[in-house]
Amino acid sequence: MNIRYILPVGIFFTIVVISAVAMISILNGDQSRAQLPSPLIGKKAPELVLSSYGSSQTSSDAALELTKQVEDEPFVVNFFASWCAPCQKEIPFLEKLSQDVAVIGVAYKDKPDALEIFLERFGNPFRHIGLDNDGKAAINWGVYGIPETFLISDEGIIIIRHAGEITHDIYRTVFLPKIGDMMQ
Amino acid sequence: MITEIGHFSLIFAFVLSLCQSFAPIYAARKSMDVIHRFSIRLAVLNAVFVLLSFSCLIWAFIVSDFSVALVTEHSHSSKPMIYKISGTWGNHEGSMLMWIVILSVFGAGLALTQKTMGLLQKSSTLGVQGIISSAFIAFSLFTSNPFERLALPPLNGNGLNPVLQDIGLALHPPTLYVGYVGLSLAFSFAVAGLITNSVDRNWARYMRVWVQIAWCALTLGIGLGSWWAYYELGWGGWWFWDPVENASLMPWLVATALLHSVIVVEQRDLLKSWTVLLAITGFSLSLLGTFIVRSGLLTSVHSFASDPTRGLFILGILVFSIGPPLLLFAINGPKIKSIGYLHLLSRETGLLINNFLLICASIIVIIGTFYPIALEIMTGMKITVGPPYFEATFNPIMALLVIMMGIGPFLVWKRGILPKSNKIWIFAGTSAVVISAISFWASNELSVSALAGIATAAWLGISLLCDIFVKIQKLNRNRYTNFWQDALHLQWGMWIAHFGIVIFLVGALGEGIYRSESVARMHIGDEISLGSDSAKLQAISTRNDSNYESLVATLKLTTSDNIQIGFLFPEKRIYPVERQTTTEAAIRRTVTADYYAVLGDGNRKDGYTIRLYHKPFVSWIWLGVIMMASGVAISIIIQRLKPKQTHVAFTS
Amino acid sequence: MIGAFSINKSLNTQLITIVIGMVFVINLYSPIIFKNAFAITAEEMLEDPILEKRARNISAGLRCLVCQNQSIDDSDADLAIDLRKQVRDYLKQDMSDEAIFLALKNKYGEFVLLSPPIQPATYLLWIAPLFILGVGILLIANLFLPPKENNRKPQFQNNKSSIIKTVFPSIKKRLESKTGDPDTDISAKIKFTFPIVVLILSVTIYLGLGRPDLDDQPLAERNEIQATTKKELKKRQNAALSAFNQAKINVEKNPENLSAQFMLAATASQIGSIEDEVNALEKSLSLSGGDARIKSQLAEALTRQAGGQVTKAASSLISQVLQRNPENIRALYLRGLELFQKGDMGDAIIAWKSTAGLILPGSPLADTLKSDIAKAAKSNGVDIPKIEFARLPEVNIPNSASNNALIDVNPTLFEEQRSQFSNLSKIEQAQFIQKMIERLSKRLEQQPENFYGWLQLANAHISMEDFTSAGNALISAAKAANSDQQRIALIEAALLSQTSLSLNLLVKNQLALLPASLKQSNSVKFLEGEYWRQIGDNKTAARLWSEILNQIPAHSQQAKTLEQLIAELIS
Repeated sequence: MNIRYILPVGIFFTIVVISAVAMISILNGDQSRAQLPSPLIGKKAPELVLSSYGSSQTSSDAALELTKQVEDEPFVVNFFASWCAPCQKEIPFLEKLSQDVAVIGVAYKDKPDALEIFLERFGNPFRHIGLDNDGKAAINWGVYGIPETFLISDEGIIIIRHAGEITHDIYRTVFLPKIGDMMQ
Repeated sequence: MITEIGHFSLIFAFVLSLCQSFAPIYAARKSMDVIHRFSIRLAVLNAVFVLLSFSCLIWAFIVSDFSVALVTEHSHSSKPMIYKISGTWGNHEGSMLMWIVILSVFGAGLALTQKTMGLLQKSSTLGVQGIISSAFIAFSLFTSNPFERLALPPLNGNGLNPVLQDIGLALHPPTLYVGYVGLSLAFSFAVAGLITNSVDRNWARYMRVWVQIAWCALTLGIGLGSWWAYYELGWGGWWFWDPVENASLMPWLVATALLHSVIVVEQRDLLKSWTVLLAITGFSLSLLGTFIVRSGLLTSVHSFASDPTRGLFILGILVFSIGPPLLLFAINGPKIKSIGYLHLLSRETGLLINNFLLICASIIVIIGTFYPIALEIMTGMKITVGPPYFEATFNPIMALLVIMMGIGPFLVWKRGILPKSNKIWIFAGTSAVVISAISFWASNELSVSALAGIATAAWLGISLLCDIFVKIQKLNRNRYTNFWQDALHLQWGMWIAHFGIVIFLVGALGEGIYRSESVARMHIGDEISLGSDSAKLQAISTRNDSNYESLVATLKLTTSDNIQIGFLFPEKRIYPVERQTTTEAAIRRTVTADYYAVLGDGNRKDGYTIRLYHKPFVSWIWLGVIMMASGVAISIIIQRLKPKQTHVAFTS
Repeated sequence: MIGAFSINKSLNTQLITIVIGMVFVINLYSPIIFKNAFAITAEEMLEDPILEKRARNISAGLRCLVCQNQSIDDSDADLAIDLRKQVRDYLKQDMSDEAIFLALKNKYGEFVLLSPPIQPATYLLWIAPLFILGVGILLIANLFLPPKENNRKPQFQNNKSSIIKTVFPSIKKRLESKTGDPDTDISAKIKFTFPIVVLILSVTIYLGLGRPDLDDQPLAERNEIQATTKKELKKRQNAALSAFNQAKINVEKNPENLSAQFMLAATASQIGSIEDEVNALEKSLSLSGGDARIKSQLAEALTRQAGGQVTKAASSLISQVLQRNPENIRALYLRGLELFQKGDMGDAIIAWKSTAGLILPGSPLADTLKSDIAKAAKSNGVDIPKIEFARLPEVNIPNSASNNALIDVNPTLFEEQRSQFSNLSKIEQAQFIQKMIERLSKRLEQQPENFYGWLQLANAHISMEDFTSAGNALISAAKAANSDQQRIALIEAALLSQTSLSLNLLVKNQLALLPASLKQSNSVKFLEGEYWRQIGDNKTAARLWSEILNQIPAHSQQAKTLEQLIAELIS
């Protein structure tokens, strides 16, 4: 075939393909596209050594390995802060999650008194809360903005990483099926 | 009333441009000159009404008529008048209308000039222009109507963002648009040429001036954008390989290729179908540039999805303005047969290689920009293609191009013999090596790529000077003709534009290689060194303006011999109403270097963080850009001054 | 409850505007929102200049994930600052550059690297430039290779051939036969038809899109209106503020006074101070001993305080109120909201639908409810259910201006008009009442002594769910009341209007004004009982009602109802 044909036809098809792909992604611009895929999924959850808030507040300075507290059962790690609005909105869903699995909260750059008001006002679905005062734990978990929620299997493997608020849809379509799978 | 007049004239222009696009088809069927003439007049009428419509919109912004939804969204009664006016196109709907205005004005420009052009060719070119115009007016009217009204106008508008009140932002989009839209005329020429099979030397001659105008504007637009980023963003860079910047670079590279290839068609009747393809691609990339980028596809598919009708409409226009012409090209293109032969050592080969390198560069930019999106859509993987990628791929190709630019001007059309130029090349090559050796000796920390950059810039500069020297000398020797008359025929435009690139390279290399930077927390009275110079923080004062408060630092710059260079006043502004803080970099410009200072956080007790840059030759970057654009402008003028000549059909 | 929602809504619109604005700004002038970028501060820098240089180099190669194609070295975002610190920490731990890149890549993915690593997914990206260069060189070289015979000769001798010739032969034919001169003929035709066609077409489109009915409103012309509106607004704000201050003083004087606290809450709500409102409501609640209405108002205020999120405390208040009165509109609506926020869409819809059953279609909450139910239905993936609003309470409305003269007469007389009225659709009814309100207000400006007029206005406001205006009308009515009968009517209306406790004060005053003989009548006793019940003194209420019970026949319908009411009170 002549090069004169190949060139325009090639350009034409490239553009058609680009447009089609764009069109498709516009039409089903689902939420997962907004997410940065985390390389941590399928890997062992990083450790989470933080000073703890709440139940063991008497020893609040002592660092606590939070992931060790819930060994051998699936659990959820939620990075949140009392100053973040989506974090309060997702509390009801974390409460629902806490009925099935342990939920560990990591308060990102937060103050204990603000945290106390927050928990009192919106509820406390967390079994343990760690204080990540310098944001190191967040970096360690690859968090780039709060809220972010991880689901970890009983073997300590990260199964889900969700960045952003857990909405009704996210809860139903992302978390519930995986938790259902794990329960079986 | 005025707003509704504007709305109606836009609708009227829509109907007119529909007529404008159908008239040539009708006329071709009936083969009637009167209709061709008529459709050419329609183009002018169209522009008149679009302009009227745009003026009405500007009027609504000037008088702050908040019964217009767009004014409410993007203006505020307490804005300075200039930003009220520039607010007209500082938003999606208004900029769409401005796009349409430029489109119609270009059409009218063609209709009113180039009287010698064939009637059929002119009316079908304008017909294609009319199709584009009606598509965009439809887009504007039906999905993003700037004349939407509010029955209950609010007391004041919402558009008082201090960051958007900037002269660079007011000028940058219109200039860029003239460039983008100017390419539409090249596109129309190409499509009309395909339909009427009139791609020949005359076609090229008529088209060339429009490509030149578009190129000038595009170059200036990109330059303005980069200048704005430099003085406004506060971290001293001037090009970031940001998707938005890349989107304007892609059509620029193709337009540059087109600018050169159209000369080959005009002079030698070669590379015709290639030029047609470039014209189509150039405009397609402009469309891609303005719309896909603006709708946010590059950054996030979501912002696009927020208004699916708009997005789909844009994609529709894109596909229909690229698809049929390319199909037409596939069918008809092979029939455009270039007559004549290509010789290895000829100027046309030089220009072919120039085209090839430019297209390579633009493909690299396209790949670098779109690869992450394609990869993400196909595999879900998200990667970043940042400056390091482009530095590794784009820059070497550009270096090759610069080397070629030193050779090209010496080549002659058709049959290539090397005109004594080998001596010049040896001279230029040696001087380039010597210059880079000197610069290596001056500071031996230079990397290989930096040295290569210096050498290529030197090579281009010296060989250009040699070229000018040799050609003027030749002219002097020829005593039979008028020196000044003949001097006009020399390629002044090309020399200036190419020399602009040398200047640009000096700026880019100087900034890239020799910039120095220092950051320190300073108390009043402290001094820090910046390269061989030093800066002393003399005072920190507060200043109140009408809508902001600002903290101003006074820095005194002195050289190592204690000679005062000048003062810098970096600012940090706080807009209490908008709850925004902005940093205003202070720039002290000299011919050889810029001193650039940014004031950061801090307080009187602990001192203030201050960041200082010394950027040698950085303003040469924009000087170079201006030279490039003015070179092409001069070339347009020289063409007008030359005695008119129409090419007779070329026969070999 | 309406307040909670309008606030919530405006918050949403603001957010949306901000987001859209951001998106736009990002797209057009990408780097603008990072204008503040000052990036690295002096504190972060490492002592060792070599390490610091490495840190800067590494930072320049890492992407600030929340920014746009910007390195963390250039960005001022929180995350960028944290990451810069992390990089320097790594450097202090003697990690190599590669190890640092790898460590961050393992956490954030390839996205964090500004230079894409060479791996299967990016082979194409890195090879493409070389490939294009190679192909291009081959193509160009091909042009200069010794020609094959057929390569050099023009394939198409006739370079006049074109798409017109091949695809549209007929067009081509006519194109070539440029003979004859039909031009003048055609030109005349065009001159006539063209303007007509173009005009008709554009006018048609314009009628579809344009707003010829709207006139321009340049700012200059509206300055006057603006000034008066501003003044008006300011006046109202000042009034609200002084009312709030007055209420504050009252509370300070008499902290244990329920109505003073309640006034404080109401005025705080008007000046938009949620904290004060919540505090005052909490105090009122404890003073009133658990009044249901205060509870529901407090629940709403708490929700508003939390930015539209139903908090724990609000939730328990709602439960308490609904236990007492499952038809408390405010509480029912908030319960629906709570369920919605928890994701129990089905239940939320049920709660909201029953709320709708208690209000009129014209009331301000109705639209909010409609959109809320639609939202819930959408996220549950079901069709939007049909919403039944309440029927209009049976108030009597004179339906023409001529009847206005009759207002002074006790308005319970218009049986005929009532039946006419109930034949109207709900929206018509609402419109009707609205008109009547306007008429009445105008009339009453001139005749402020018209007691039944005020009462009528209050009733109309009550039927539109506008309790605040109803309260105002009742207060005016109280000023106009001059007979005992009128006072009783007033008390009845005030108790019915379900509004703030400040009205209870009015009721109390009016009751005091009644002569002792009348106070012993059963109807007044009943009203008095209702008054005590409403302010939370259930004991007194029960005592008064029991007194009535003793005086009426034991097995009558009335007695049964009363017994039931008393039983509820005691429980």
